[in-house]
Amino acid sequence: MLGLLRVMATLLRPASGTGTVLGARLATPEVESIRPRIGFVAHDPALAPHLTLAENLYLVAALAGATRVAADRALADVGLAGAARRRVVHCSNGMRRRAEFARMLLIGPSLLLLDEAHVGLDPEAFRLVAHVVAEVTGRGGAAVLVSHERERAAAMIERAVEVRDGTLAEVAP
Amino acid sequence: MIRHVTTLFVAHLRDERRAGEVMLVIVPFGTVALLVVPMAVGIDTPLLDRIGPGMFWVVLLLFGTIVTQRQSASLGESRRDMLTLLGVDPAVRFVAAALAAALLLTVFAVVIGAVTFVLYDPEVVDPGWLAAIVPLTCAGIAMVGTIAGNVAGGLGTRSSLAPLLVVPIAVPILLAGAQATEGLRMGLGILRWILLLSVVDIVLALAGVLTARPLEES
Amino acid sequence: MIRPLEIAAGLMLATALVLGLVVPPDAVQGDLQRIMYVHVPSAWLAYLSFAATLVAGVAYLKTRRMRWDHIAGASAEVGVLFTGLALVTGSIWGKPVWGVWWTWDARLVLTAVMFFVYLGYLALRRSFDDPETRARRAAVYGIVAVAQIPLVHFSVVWWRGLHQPPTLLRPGDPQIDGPLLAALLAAVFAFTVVYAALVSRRAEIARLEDLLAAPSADETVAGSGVSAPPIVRDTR
Repeated sequence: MLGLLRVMATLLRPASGTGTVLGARLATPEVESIRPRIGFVAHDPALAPHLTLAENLYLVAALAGATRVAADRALADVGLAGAARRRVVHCSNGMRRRAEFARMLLIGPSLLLLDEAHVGLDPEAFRLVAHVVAEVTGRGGAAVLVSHERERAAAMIERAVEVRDGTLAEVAP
Repeated sequence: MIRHVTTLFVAHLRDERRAGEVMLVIVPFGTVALLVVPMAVGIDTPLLDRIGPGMFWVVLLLFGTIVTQRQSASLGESRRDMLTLLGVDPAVRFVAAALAAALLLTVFAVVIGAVTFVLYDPEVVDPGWLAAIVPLTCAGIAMVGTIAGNVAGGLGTRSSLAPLLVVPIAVPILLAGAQATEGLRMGLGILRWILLLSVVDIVLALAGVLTARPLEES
Repeated sequence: MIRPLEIAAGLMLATALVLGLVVPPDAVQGDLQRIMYVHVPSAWLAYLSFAATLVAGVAYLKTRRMRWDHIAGASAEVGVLFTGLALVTGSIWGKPVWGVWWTWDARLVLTAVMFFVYLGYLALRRSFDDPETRARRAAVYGIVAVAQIPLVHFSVVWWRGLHQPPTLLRPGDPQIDGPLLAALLAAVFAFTVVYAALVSRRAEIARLEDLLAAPSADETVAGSGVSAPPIVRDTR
């Protein structure tokens, strides 16, 4: 499903067909204006391995026009305030995922795309996913969650679709 | 845009400072190469004096290519996607990576130059000119290397493929550097080589910037 | 199925080679010079293939049609073949004339560099599974590499110019008489048709290879072969 998610994130051009994301038509220059409003959490965390968690978030802040204070706050919100100075290579998978959520809180997207984002997270951290999703939808945004764990994800979602034989079929959440 | 370039540039350098791959691995590798050559060709002093500068340029090109792969090696697909979504222009990414690579290469060149001087005792005439020639060659190698790294990005074979992609088209850079140092020694005019290096650098910069976006689009 | 172009190419090639063998030998070099009828066309094709790879790469980036990528790859493969042939025949020609297998003649060096650029380009192409990624990356590398070639040319020519080479018979441009010139032109023309036939066939094979490798309908919806399927309401 990663391919479909990346198409939604405007990172991949569809081989055929059309679509609009946040009002911009796919595979046209229109996507550039809406990209900053998309938050994408891939399976592999988008973190520079030798920088600290804080430095990674500061980098995002600098590029997104946010402040370091906001980055610190985002890290605190996901429970990583204490580990902010730790290098990514020395962090566990769970911590790296949390850092990804901190990134989402920092950039505040209108469209949140999560690729198996809650895999390997303990229940405490899983609540974080729900929190981030609620943050986005509370502001009028949308979230798309890809998951194999239907029951776990069920509580967070309004609609569900399954991939069957190469087509999407809507199912009850 | 400049802000993006500086932010990424600093991030690349910081990453290298932490990982230490250039200073702790590639520099020693280059030094060992310089050490091993006299073992193979003989320690005849006049001979080493003659080939010293040439060996410097060869090591700079061949091992320098590895230095330039650091920047693209550290950028996985997730991070590239993140930068794309943040609105960072692919051309900006190229410039930042190339600048960082050029700086690291210059440091590499200085260290390797010192080693060459010690081991081969070459006659160095007009060292002031080197201050112009070395950065120009490092910039050129950095840009070719960055382009090659981006083109071969995401491949397991990148480490062996990149030098093959870089070295043949870096021939003008190598020749210019080597002929310029040779020219200095023989008292010939070297302006044409400086000119060639400048043109090469401009062409590579344009190529890197103009192809950055087509390369990214999926 | 053999195509008309291929038949024509075969016939022309045979004609050119026969011509090359029956025209009078060179006054100075004798029969050795006949290798020119293979060497010169090969060198010509080395440059032609290069240019074609560049043009096809640019065309791909503009149109995103895979056909151009297939042509670019085919041209590079044929190009590396003829570049290698040019180098080998140049060497064979040179050995009796110069006494060595290799000399640092500017043109030879340039041809050798081109050979390695081709090899790198082809190695790059081989490294990708996804055809579109391959096409994009190869096109960009092709453009950058070919943009550098004039600079490689200048640097090598300036380099060799500084060191006066011994006066050698330059096999590339002897004074040519009428019949020999005619045979040479025939060879160049024939080789060009052979090039076209080879590239055409190889591009077709590449197209079929990509078709074979494409993901099938029941594979997971991933990668670039995604289209927006209809959403079917299904109450369960």
